[in-house]
Parts: sequence; structure tokens; C-alpha cells
Amino acid sequence: MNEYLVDNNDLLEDDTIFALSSGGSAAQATAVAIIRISGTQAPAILQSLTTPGTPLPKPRYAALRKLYYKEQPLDQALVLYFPGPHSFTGEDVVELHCHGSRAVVQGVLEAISDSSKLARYAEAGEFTQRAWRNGKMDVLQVEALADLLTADTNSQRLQALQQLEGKLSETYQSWREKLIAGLAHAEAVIDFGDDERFGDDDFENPEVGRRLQQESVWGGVIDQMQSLRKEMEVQLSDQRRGELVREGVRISILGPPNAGKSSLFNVLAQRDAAIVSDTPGTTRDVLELTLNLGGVKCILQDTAGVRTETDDTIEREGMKRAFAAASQADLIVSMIDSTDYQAGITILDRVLTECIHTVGADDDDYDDTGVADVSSLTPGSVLLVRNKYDLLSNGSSSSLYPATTDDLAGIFDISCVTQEGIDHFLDNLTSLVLSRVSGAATSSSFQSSGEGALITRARHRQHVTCAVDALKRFDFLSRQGTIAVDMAAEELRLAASELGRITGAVDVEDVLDKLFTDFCIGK
Amino acid sequence: MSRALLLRVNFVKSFSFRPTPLFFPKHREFSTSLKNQNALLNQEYDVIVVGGGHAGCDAAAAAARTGAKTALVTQRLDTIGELSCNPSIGGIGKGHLVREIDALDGLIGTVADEAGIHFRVLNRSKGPAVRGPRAQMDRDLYKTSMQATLKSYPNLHLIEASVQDLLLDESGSPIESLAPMSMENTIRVSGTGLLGMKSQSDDRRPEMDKMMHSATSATRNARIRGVIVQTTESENQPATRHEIQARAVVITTGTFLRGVLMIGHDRYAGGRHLRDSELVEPPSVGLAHTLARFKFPLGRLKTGTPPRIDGSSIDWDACTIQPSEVPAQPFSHIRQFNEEQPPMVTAGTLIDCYQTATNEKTHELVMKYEHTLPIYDGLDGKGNGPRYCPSLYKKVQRFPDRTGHNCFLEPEGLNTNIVYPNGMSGPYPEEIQLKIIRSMKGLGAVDIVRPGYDVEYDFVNPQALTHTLETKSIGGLFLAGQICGTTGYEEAAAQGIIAGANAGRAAVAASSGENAPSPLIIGRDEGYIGVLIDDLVTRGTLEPYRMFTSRAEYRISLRADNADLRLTRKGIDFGLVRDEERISALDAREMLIGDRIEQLQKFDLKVTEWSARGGNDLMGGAQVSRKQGQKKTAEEILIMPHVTLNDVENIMMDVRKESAETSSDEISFMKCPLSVYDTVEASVKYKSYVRRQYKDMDSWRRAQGLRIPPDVVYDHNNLPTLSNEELEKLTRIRPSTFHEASQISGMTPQSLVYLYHHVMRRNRQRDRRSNEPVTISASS
Repeated sequence: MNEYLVDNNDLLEDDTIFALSSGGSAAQATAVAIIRISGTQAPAILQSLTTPGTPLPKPRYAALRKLYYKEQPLDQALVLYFPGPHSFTGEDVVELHCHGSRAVVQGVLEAISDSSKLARYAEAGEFTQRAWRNGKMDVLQVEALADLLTADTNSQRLQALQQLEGKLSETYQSWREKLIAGLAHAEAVIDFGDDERFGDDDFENPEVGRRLQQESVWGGVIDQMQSLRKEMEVQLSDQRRGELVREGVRISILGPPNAGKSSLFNVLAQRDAAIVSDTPGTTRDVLELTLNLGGVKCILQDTAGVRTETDDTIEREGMKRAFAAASQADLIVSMIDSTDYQAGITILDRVLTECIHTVGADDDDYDDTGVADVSSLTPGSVLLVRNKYDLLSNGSSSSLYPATTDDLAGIFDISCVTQEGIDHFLDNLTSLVLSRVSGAATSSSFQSSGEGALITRARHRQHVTCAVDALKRFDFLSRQGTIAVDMAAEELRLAASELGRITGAVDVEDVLDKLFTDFCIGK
Repeated sequence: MSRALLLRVNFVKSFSFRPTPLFFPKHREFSTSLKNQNALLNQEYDVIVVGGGHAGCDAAAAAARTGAKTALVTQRLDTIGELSCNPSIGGIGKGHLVREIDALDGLIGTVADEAGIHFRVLNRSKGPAVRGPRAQMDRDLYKTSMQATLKSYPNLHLIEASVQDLLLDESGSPIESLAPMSMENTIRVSGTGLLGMKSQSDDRRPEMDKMMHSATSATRNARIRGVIVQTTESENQPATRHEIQARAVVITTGTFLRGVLMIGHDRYAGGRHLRDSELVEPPSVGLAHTLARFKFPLGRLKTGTPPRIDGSSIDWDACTIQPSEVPAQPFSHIRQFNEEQPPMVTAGTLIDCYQTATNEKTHELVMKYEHTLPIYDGLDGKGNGPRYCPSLYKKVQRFPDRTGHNCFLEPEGLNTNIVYPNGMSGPYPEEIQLKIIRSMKGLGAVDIVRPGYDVEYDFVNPQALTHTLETKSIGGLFLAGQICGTTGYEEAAAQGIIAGANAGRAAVAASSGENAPSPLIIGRDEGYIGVLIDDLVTRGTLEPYRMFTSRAEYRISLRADNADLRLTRKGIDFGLVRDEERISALDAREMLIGDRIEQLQKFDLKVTEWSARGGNDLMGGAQVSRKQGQKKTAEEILIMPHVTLNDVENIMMDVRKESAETSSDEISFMKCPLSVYDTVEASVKYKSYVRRQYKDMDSWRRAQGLRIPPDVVYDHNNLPTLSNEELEKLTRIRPSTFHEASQISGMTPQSLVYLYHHVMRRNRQRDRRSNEPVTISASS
């Protein structure tokens, strides 16, 4: 795909590009196929496909046109013309809604590429790239579009749409504008302070002097930055809702060998995804499958059984992986065999303590994300499932609880064999998932509350966290009088560039523009 | 014949302000006994510098220091070193540039110290990183001092003539750059950064060289051979035309390219007025045509200078006095290290500046006579002037709520009554200028000596240059100064020294048949000079470009106090610094600073004791008391914003005195120059910031030799913060290492860091994946 880009050095931005934009491929028949053409040649290409003298359709209105190629009719199609900049890419765009047969689609594509030497087949994502280049979308919206195009579930779709509408961009943008205004203030004091007498010095009492300096240097900026920081902190304490929706909620099934973890996995998968046998330790690796629970994407993991000791190196490795998976999980389904209850509880107590403790202690030296892959595992994220309920005489084990009971989100008795209790368990698991991603009380399905999570990627979280840290340091430094004005400004610069990285590049020109608009400067 | 030229260099050892002689490489065939002025015109030079302004002076001197036989050609020898606008050098950002030029043994700083009659460090009350030394000049002293320096400068000739055109070799076939930016060069360049990193990668691969070469320095259409000059006409000599041969030419013609001067609606051709005179110096028109012929992208900018007023007609008592600082902080590192005051400070012949302001009456006049202002070529008649140095009209128009704007009254010298009213530019007709200026406090009866005027001129979009300031279309042709779209003496001199050094080094190598030498390029992390040139050649400029500290992303590291630590070693390596005294001063300073910091690191006390001795307030008060039992080193205490090195060292000495074991000579600190003291304090205070910037830079510097996988997709999905232009260039060039990526014009350091992290994360993910269990993935 990208080979094309690599090899063609003369790839010009003002090429006209075209592609089959509806799903499938030219080789697959569909009812309707949409071919999109973008670039300066787009209207000319449309005209070359219609009988000479046919006018272009009225902008943004659908028109029925017969398409021809080498005087042979190709198709009767619904065509739309969007003159730039009022189009998806910001360029002139033509859309051909053709019949979706192989012959038609291939014929039209061939006709387009023949009709103009300047038109070429688009690279993957090239329409979006152009939209971005032409300022129709920012980086966040591009990310959102990618999310929307790959959305599996309702919650993902709603979240992506919200981001695509630019709501996130607006928030980040407004934060950044506040920072830049504060920074411009500092830069004006630094670069022009002595000419314009911002911040006088020489006071008798250093304390009074410092306070007066602080006022003259920063004015209301200190308070503004403080409330901005609070706003950011609120967004950071969202328990990764946005990321969970986007990436999926990770649910690990964890428990002693032969508790029936793989059976549950298969029940939830509704097929035989994992090998099940009576032999303990059948599962060695971590298996994964994607589930849709209440409209939320979930990643279910089956893990190797864990027990206190083993001499088997392969089993030991499997256990290691099980621990690793559990400590990265958002929810843990801890599973034990009701008939071997005591052994199960002992192991689980240890495992859970260990997993909850190791959360956050990621030893990865330096990750670009800055934030280690911190699991959002909290005490309320563990469900206890007692399997093989059908093999028990009624109620015989209900008095036995693990020491970590208080941390449990619920205890469920099920039987994977008889399917007893499965529905009840699934309902509860679903509400737990929903409450994790909505950040509110349990609801029956994912709803767009209008206050979706702001942070949808770890990348965003990293930058916002760094910005908050910088603002904390700013808060101290800005109260130290003029002597620390350069360091305080440094913190604002850092914060602004961190936020700038979320939506796009940050530039000193932004600051200078602000500076020259708001401050009267100049000797 | 033409007697109007030429002052010849005769190695007069009259270095009045250079304590030790300079050790220059003696030029191969340079004869010192030429009597015939014409002979100068008929010689062949390594480097010709066109123009005798601030860019030209430092370009010529730099070229000469590299050992190149250099000629400075200018219309009038007596205007060399003229301060055409304000009578001051330095300031915030600008003072940093002057210090850096001095660290490379340039002229502007030492000459400014000679001619300074009022010294002041701006931002004195703010952090050391943003303090900028500034000095008022006596215009005559500055000029004579600069001319004397150049006349006696080894390897340098001064020629009075007007450059009409360039001599070019246009053989048709592609021509190599004179100063190519090859791999070797750039590795060395980035390897000697401020942060002390040594170059990591020395694996030079020829194909990489070739690629980088083509990426960074497009093949030239022509090569310079010299210049065509016309000598000045005089009473007994007609003007004559000559061809002067040279391997490299540096053009520094300031505002002279198709310059047009304007007062009110009067327009007349000229580069500038002769000082305090109605006479103008003619513009360069032929050169503008040549540049246009080679399709140099030209633009039009304007700048203005205020009227000059008669000091004897000012009511000084009505204005606020602003005396010079004494002792003064000089620009010269050597002078500073030797704790030598500038001569006028020692002599006590300093002037005072004064401050007044505009008022509502002034603003009313400014708006009332709006219609009498010139109509410019640029920006639909509005003229494209600097945003930060707006005309009075612009200020009043843009900030209608302000009832006054500052005006500094700066006397232009010791032996003149002429005063420069800073901030009052506005090319109204003269009688209106008088009305406006007389409306101000203290200026009610003032007389105008020369009215203010604007000049509109051509500039070359600096994106047509490489980082060496060589043009991309003509090999051996360099541009520097206002012609590149900048404004300010300091910005001009900064480009001059880099253009001159690169032209000189390349020409010397070419004449001795050696390979092209490493170009001298200052990194953005090494100095404001680097920021300036990088901004210009990679982004171009839309308005006259001035340096601000806010332009430097490494502002905390790029201080006026440490310019020598950042640049002098590099200057030595590139043959630009040869002054033994400067070198030994640097050695001494490095040693003293290192020793001082080590002592601070070794000494510790309990926090409570620091507090008891130094005062609760000073030592951080509430913050300190929370950690009472803890010990802190002197260095850690000094990091607190209000603690000074003096405070800390006094406590250290007290403690040592009390301790019987310490012998008396260890008690007091070695006496050291103030410049050492300043640098120690700043280094400690900014330590954490410098470290953070270092980490940023370091991680990618180390990565320079690292390979970038060939399958990296340069798009906004992977690298959302890179600019469109950067992604496009990366896609086209597909650098195989970070070092190569860093050489692509327009790549910012931040983008490189970002690219680095992307690649590292990608590698890590791949590693992780290969260690991971095989997972099945099924969808429900």
C-alpha cells in the first residue's frame, strides 16, 4: 500500500485522486457502489464521463446521469458535486453512486483513470489526509474518524462521533488558548518588560515587593492557570473511561487449575474456542476473544490455572502469563471449583492481593506514553465465580468466603455444564462493564450522556498529565516574584506544547501573535 | 586614476583594545607593501564581502580570521560601522546574540564596549536566562572604532566602490555547492552541542552522503567568480568599472536593494540617509536585477527611523532620568573575565538617558494626520513592517485605550546635542513630525535636526539559503543581514559571522585544492545564532525578523553569561577563534565554575540549620520546616528562587570557621570574577530545566546513529504532531537514521524527538509481541 508512496517521488499533492469508497472491493458485487473523486480535475472527470455539453450537477444536489466510456454506456448513476472548500477533503469532490456490480465498478474506475492523466487511485486514508491538510479536520478528528470506521460496538460509535464533531478538540483548544494567553503575558514581561515597565522592582520590604511584582507580572494569570489545572485534573480522574470504550474492557478469567475457566470462556464465546479437558493445566497460553456486552467492546481472556507450586517449567511460564494478564485487566473473573473450595480460595487470596498490588508498578523503563499501562483494576473489579455448582449438595459451601470478600463485586454460582446461573452472571458482568465505561451508576445499555470521556487514548492522557504537572510547578514559581518569571514561563511553555501535541503542532508564532495582539509593545 | 578607493591593510599593531596580538595564519601570497590602490582591484580574493554594515563588518572579519584573503567592498568607506537607526547595541535576545558573536571572536561586542557611553542590563530583576546586556553608543566612537579595527585587521582589505553586478560561471552543467552540507559536517556540528555530547555515529556511508547532499543543498545553477564594481566618481577621477575575482561573495546590502525612502508622500530612491544629512546613499538596483534573474524569491519590507531632535531644546527636568549602571557589564568575555571596565566607564564620561511619554494630545495628532503617511508597496499600501517595533501611528491605532506610550530620549554621543527619541518613528511630513513631538512632556520647544523617514526595500526569502547562508542557486554566493529579512544590528552581525566564516573556510579549502570543509552551523540548542538562522532558512519570514528570547526553545540554557561556554570551543575547532587570551580565559572560567559547583555539592547541613543561619524566609520558610531532620547540600539550597550564591557561601564560610579542623586557607573561597559567580548561580538554579532539555535532546542525539526502520509510515496517524511539510519530506527522503532525518530542512527538534519516540515504541511493541503468548482472536 505504501510502496506506492515510497517509489513515487513525484507524488504531488495536487494530484486528483479517486477510489471506491463504499465497502467491499471492485471484485465484489454490492447493490450500490460509491466512487469518490477529489482534486482539481474532479469536475472535468465527471464531465468527461457524461455526454459532451452536460452541465455539472448543482453543487451538493443529487442528479441522475448516464455515464459513458469511449462512447459506450457504463451505468446510470446518481452523481454529486461538492466544490471545494465545502467538501470532505476541502478540494473539489465528485461522488458517483453507481450500481455495485463488478463490471460497472471496474468499468467506471478504468474510465476515470483513463480520462485524466492527473488522476490516480488514492492511497489508504488519503482522502482523510487531505481533509486534514486542508484544515477540515484536526488530529483528534482524524483519530476519531479512524475509530468510527473501525467501531465494533455502539459505545465506540457514539464516542467516536462525539470526538469527530470536534467536541474534544474544542476543549483541548480552549485549554491551550488559555495557556497561550498566560504564556504571552509572561513572554511580554520577559521580552519587553523593561521598556514597558511591567513589574517594577526595588521595594523596601521584599515580601511586599514580591507580592506587587507577582501582581504586575502575572495579573490574573495565576488564578486562571489554577482553575485550568483543576479542569484537567477532573478529566484525568475519569478511570480511563474513554480508553476503555475505545480499546475494549479487558476481562481476565483467573483461577486454580481445572476450575473450568476454559469452559466459561467457551460458553461466553458460544463456540469451542479453547480446548477443554479434565486434565489440570490444559490451558498454557492466554487466549483472547472479543465480546460485545451491552454495546461495549470487551476483551475476554482465558488464562492458565494458577497454583502454589509446580515443577513444570511450561506450567510455570503459563502461570506467569496468567498473572501478567490479570494485572493488566480491567475486570477479573476469579473462578474456583465449588467442590474444591478451600484450595481455590487460598490461591485466589494470594493471587488477587498480588495482582492488585502490582498494578501500576510497571517496570517498563521509559514508554513513549509516559504512563505505564496502568490497569484500572480496583477492589470493586473482581467477581468471584463458583463453578460446578451442579456437583454440590445445596448450600454446603456458602459459608466459605475468601478473605478479600469486601473487595468483590459479586459472588456467582454457575455451572458451565448445565448453563445454570450463566445468564444471571452475564447480566451482572454487563452492568459492571457499563458502569466502568459510563463512569456513573449501572445502566442497562450504553447511552451518550452528552458528557462522554474527554480522554480516549493513552496518548492524550500522557500529554494532559504532563501539562498538569507543569502547571503545578508553575503555581509555585509564579508566586516567587520576577526572579522566577523565566522558569514559570518555561512551565507554561511545556504545558502548552503538551496540549498542542494532542491536536497538532505548537508553534512559537502562536505565542507571538497573541503577544502582539494583546500587548502594546515596541520601542 | 580612481583615487577614491582603498585603505590597505598594513599590519599596524595598534590593537588598542586587544591586549594580546592575534595569531592569524598568514596568507599565502598576500603582500603587505602594496602602494597602488588599483592593485587592490586587480587582485584575486578568496572572499569579497559587499557592504560595510553590521553584517558586513563581522562577515569580513570572520572570513579573514579563517585565513581567507578578504576584501570588504562598500560604497563609502567612511560609513563603515554606521549605526543607521538607534544608537544602541544589545538588549533582551539581542544582547544574547552580541555575547555569542563575541564568544566566536566577532567584532560587534568589543567595539560596542569601546564606544559605549551608557550601560544597562535589561531584565536585571528577572531570572539570569532572560537578562540582556545593552549599551548606548557614541555614534562617532562606534564608527571610528569599527573602522580602525577593520583597517588593521590581518588578511582584510577595504575597497570603496559600488558593486554593480556579480561575475558568474554559468557553464550549464550542474555545479557543486562551495560549502556543501555533507554528512561529515553535520555529524560534527551536532556532536559538539552545548550539552557536551560527542558525536555518536561516525559510520559515513557515501550513498547517505549523496542523498543528504541532495536533500539539503540543491545543485547550483551557477558559481560565483567575483563582482563587477564601479569606483566612486570624484573631482579628478571619473568612475571606472572593474571586475574583481573571488571564490566566494557575501552580500550584506541591508536596505539598499531597490531601497525607497519616504517622508509623507515624498518618495525617493536610496538605501538610507547619510547621518543627519539630506544626502542619501544610492540604492543597489543592478544587484536586485541579478537576484531576480536567478529567480531568488524577493519580497518587500519596510522599516522606519524616528526624527532626531536637538538636545539643547529639551526640558530635561520634565523627564525621568535613567542613569547608566556603574560598574557596567561589558559585552566582551575577555574584558569581563579580566574585570576591566569599558573605557568610557573608567573615564567617567557616561551619559544619562531620559524617559518621557506620549499623551492624548499626541495621539490626536497622530490620527488626525493619518492621511499624510506614505503609501507603501507592501501589504496593499500599508507596508510590511515589524510587529514589535511599530510606528507611533500603529501603536495608537491598535491600542486606542492607551493614553500614553513610553518614549526614551537617548543622546547620540558625547560630543553632540542630537537625541534619538526611541519609539517615535512615523514618517509624517516634517512639519507634522514637529507638531507631534512637541506635544510631549519636556519636548514642547524641541527642534528637529533631521526628520524621521521610512525605507522600503527588497529582501530575499531566506528559505533560498542553506544553514551556511550560502544561496541554493549560486554556489559560493552568501547572503547575510537585513537582505535576508531580519532587522537589527545584532541579528545582522550574527548572520555576518556565520556567512563570513563559511565563505572563508570554503574558499580557503577550494584555493588549496582541499575538499570542502565542515560548515560552521550553530544548533538551536547551542545559541540564539542557531535559532535565528534555523528560523530564517527553514521557515522564512513574513515580517522583519527580530530575535526574542521567546523564540528559543532552549532559553534556559542559552544565557548571556555562558555564551563562551557554549560556543568558544566550537569557534576554536572551526578556526574562528585564535585569540590566545580568549582561549585561556575560557579554560580558567571552566575550571573555576567546575570547582565552585563541586564545593556546593559537597557541603551539606541540616535543613533546620540552613534555616537558622540564613533566615526562615530566605531558605524557603514553610517548605523547609516540614522536612526538619533532612540534610541538604548547598547546591540544593541554592536552587530555591530567592537564595543567592553569596548567601550560601557566607553560611559555608561561617560553618568552616567554626570547625576547628579546617585550616584557614580552606575557609574562604578563591576569589573569582563576577562572570564566574553569575554562571555558577545560573547553572545551579536552572539545573532541573537544563537536565530536562538535555534529556530531550540527548535521547534523540543518541538516537541519531540509530536506524529508522524502512517501513515506517510517515502519516498523521502515526505522527500526528508533525507538520504536513515534515511528513511529506520524510516520505520522500525516507531517512535511514535519525541523523539523516535531522538534516532535512524544516524538521524541528521537537518533531525529531517525537519521531524518535514513535520508532522506539514501535520497536518495543515488536519485541513484546515476539515474546508474547500466541493469542487467538475471535469475535463474538
